[in-house]
Formats: sequence, structure tokens, C-alpha cells
Amino acid sequence: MSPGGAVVIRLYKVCKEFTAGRTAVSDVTLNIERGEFALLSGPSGAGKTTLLRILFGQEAASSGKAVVNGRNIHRMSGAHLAALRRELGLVFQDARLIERIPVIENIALAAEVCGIARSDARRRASELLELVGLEHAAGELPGSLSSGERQRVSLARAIANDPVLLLADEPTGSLDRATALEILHLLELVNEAGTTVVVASHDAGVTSLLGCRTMRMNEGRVVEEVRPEYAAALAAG
Amino acid sequence: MSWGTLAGQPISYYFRRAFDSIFATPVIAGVTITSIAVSVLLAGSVLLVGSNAYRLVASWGAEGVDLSMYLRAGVDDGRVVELKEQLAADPAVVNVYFISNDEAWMFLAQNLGDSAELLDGLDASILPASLEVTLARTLDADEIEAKLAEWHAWPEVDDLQYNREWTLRFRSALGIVRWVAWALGALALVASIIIVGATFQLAVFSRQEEMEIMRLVGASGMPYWGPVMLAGLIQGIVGSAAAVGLLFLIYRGTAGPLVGQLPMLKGTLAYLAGSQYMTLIIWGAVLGAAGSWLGMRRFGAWK
Ligand SMILES: Nc1ncnc2c1ncn2[C@@H]1O[C@H](COP(=O)(O)OP(=O)(O)OP(=O)(O)O)[C@@H](O)[C@H]1O
Ligand SMILES: [Mg+2]
Repeated sequence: MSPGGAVVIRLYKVCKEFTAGRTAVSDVTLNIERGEFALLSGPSGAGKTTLLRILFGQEAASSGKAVVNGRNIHRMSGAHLAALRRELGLVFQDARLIERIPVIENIALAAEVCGIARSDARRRASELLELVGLEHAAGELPGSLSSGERQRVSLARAIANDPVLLLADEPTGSLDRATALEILHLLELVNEAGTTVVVASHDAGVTSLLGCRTMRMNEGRVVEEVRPEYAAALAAG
Repeated sequence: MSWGTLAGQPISYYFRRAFDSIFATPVIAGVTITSIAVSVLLAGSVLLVGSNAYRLVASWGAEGVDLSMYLRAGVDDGRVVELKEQLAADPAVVNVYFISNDEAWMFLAQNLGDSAELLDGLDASILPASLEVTLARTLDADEIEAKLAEWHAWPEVDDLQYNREWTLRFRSALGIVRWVAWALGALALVASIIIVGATFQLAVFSRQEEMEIMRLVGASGMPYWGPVMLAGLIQGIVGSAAAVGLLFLIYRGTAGPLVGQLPMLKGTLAYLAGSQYMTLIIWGAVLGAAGSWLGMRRFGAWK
């Protein structure tokens, strides 16, 4: 199931308190192996976003230990954090595109940041646009795209550097059901190509169809875990 | 296309990103360039007016301080030559020459012109012989006083005369010009920093989202902040070049009429020197880069 069986995410008793007594993430211990597709579910305010933000170093855990792709991310900053992020792909509910540069440049820039030559970066960006079905929009500014198309661009950017791990926070949050399913399908394709994918979503209606390993969070804790075999059976109906 | 790399990115990457960001927000770029131009214009005006005022005041005193050392009657020629040599050897003295009774008489007669007949029946010996001394311009008032006291004590010297008030006034005028220039310069500096600081906050604010995205895709160090600094630098150079050009036009427009009104200014008035140009352009560039840096710090985008 996971080539080499390496663990990509290792969390041990991770807690995050923003203000005293207000705990966003509480005592989360979990491992996610290379090649897995995992879903963080749970109601709004459960701590999904916070947990993801800890994983890509946007927030520091208050206590506990977090290792992502072999790097201990406790209080990681500056160049080390940037190096980690170059190994990750990130997708957010609002696609977070640079509005003033064309779609293709948004994708190519991510590759360039990783040291890929400009011409190669642009070629890679074209390929990815084709993959997400937006080759016709390459030269357009993100502002002229629909939210589903923007999310596809964002996804293409996230995988521009063949990330080890793709973290997606509410990737379908602002999309209608059909478009949401398209995005989830793309995420599955990315996963099939070998990238570990972790999706956080409160939208059970769509994500239950994934049939993947699901960790349900509530009030900062992982309160239930559904193994992929079982989830797949549920999804199948 | 690329002429080398910097921190893993080709130089063209920095220029492309810098120009991209300038052209993407033309209004903000315009405001930024204008604010730098205003700052540099301010600094340039102080420099231009200050250096001309200084030159003007200095030219008034260019001849240095002249004094007449009147000798007692009966000092013999040999002694006069000795005194003259002694003065000439003094580092405070630039020039010294002797005017005998007869020469003094002759000058007087010349100056009187038609009225020279007034002198009929008088003897040349009633006018004292003198040594005319030009003092170095580097002396300050105290040094001049000390020299005068020293020479006054010489037994051959009857009296010393020089336009003391004029000298002192000239010296203090030079001092005032210098201080006013420094004070205005400091004011220009503070004003520039405030104006440019505020503009760059605007610029970085408008780019905040983009900077955040850059960090999320793993940009850091030079490839992250380099383009922003470069954009600031470019806008600084454009702004200061515009200011220097404008200053030149203003100078051209005012210097001519000014000389027409005040002919004494002729030959003294001048535009900035090449090194002053360069200083202003560099000042604009520094303002631009420093403004970018401060703006990034302000929004915590500097990491
Ligand atoms: N920066 C912050 N400062 C203070 N409290 C925060 C901050 N970010 C999140 N929280 C709190 O932490 C808790 C968890 O928030 P989080 O965004 O992780 O939930 P979530 O599961 O992602 O919710 P949603 O499904 O609505 O996205 C919430 O109670 C929230 O108010
Ligand atoms: Mg969330």
C-alpha cells in the first residue's frame, strides 16, 4: 500500500492552545504513511485547519512532537521551513492565486521557486494545466476563472514540484457538488501518482464518497478513525 | 538571456519579478516614484541652493583679509626689507608688498584727480610708508587678532588697519550658510523618510497577499525578498533621476532671470556637480530599497 512503508506524518501528543483554556488541537497522535489518502473530518471549529497549519509550519504546536517528511517541525523557521514547503503541496479553500499574473505563471512560479529553470517551469505548468483541463486558460488572469477553475489551478500549482505530501484545507468548500467531485477526483489522481494526500473537510456529504481513511475530529481531538477498507465499503453503499 | 545566478535564481528572475510587480500596480508604483522624487527634489534643492549660497559668500571673501601695516617715520630701507621678509615667511601671510611715502603720495594724487592741486606745498613724507599684507583665508577671527597683536608690538609699527567688521561678518555669514544648509538637509532627510516610509507601507500592503503565497510555495531568502528590494531600488532610481531632471529645469528657469536681477551672481551660480548628481541618485536608490525593506518588516513579511 505504501512504497517503503515510510511514515510521512508522525504526530505525537500534539496540542495547540491559542489562548489559555481555548484549545484548538488537543493531544493528537497519529501516523500517516507514504502514499496514503487521508481525510480529516469533523464539525466546524474541530481543529482541522489548525492541525494542517501545524503540519506546514504556519502554526507552532504548543506541545507534542510533529515530524513531517523526516523533519521535526517544532519551532522551525526561515530557510528550513521554506525547504519543507518546497516538498509539500498546499491547497486552500480560497485558491490563493496571485491575481496580477496569468494562470500559467502562477503555476510556473512555484516550480521556479524550487530552482527549476524558467523554460522548464513553464513547460511543466502547461502540462499541469492540461492535466486539470485548463490548457485554454493558460494566459488568462485568475480573476476571470470560476471558483472551480481557480481551485484546479491551485491544485496544479500544488503538484508542480511533485510533492511528497499534499495538504488540502477545504478544497471543495466553495464549490457546487459536481465541481467538488471533480476536484476530489483530481486529488485521487494525484494520490495514485504516489503523493500522500491529506484533506481536511467538514463537508461529509462529498468526502464520504472518497472511501478513504478518515479521522473524525471534535473539539481538538481525533475522536474516531475509520480505516480505508471500511470507508470504501461504506462509500460503495 | 540570463547573466548569472543569485541564490539559485537567474538574475533575470529578479528583474522580471521586480518589473512585474511595478507594472502590476501602476498607481502605487506612481505614488512611490513620486514620493521618492519629492524627497530627492527636496534634498537636491537644499544641495543646490546651499552650495550656491556657500560659493557666493565664499567668493565675497575670496581676496582674503587685507591689512595695512603703517611704519613709523625714519625706519630705514634695510629694516623694511627685513620686516617684509619676516612677514613673507609667516604661514598666515599670503602676500606682502611695500608702499613707500612717495608711492603713497602718488596714489593719493591719482585718486584726487583734478583736485590734486590741494596737495601743493605738502611734503610726501607726511604720508606714512606701509607694508600691505594679505592674510590667508583659513584664519579665524581669533587667529587674526593674535597676529595683529604680535605685529602691533613691533617697534617699527605705528599702526595696523584692516576692515575687521567686514571680515568677521563674512566669516559668520559663511558659518550661517553652512548651518542653515545642514539644518534644511536634516529636515529634508526626516521628511523623506516619513513620506517614503508611508508610501512603501502602502506598496507592501498591496503585495501582502502575494508575499504570503510566495512563502507558502516555499520561497525564502533572496529569491523571496530580492525582487521586492529590487523593485524599490528601480523606483528609487527612476524617482531620483526624474527629480534631478526637474531640478535642472527649475535651475535653468530661475538662474538666468536671477543673474539679470543681480549681476553680482554672474560666474558664481552653477548647477550641481557630477558627484552631487550621483549622490542624489544613490540617495533615491537607497530610499527605495530601504523603504521596501522597512515596508516588509512592518508587515512581518521579512523572514
Ligand atoms: N489564530 C487563532 N487564534 C485564536 N483561535 C483560533 C485561531 N485559529 C483557530 N482558532 C480556534 O481554534 C479552534 C479550531 O479552529 P480550526 O480553524 O482549526 O477549526 P476547523 O476544524 O478548521 O473548522 P472549519 O471546519 O470551520 O474550518 C476554533 O475554536 C477557532 O476559534
Ligand atoms: Mg478549517
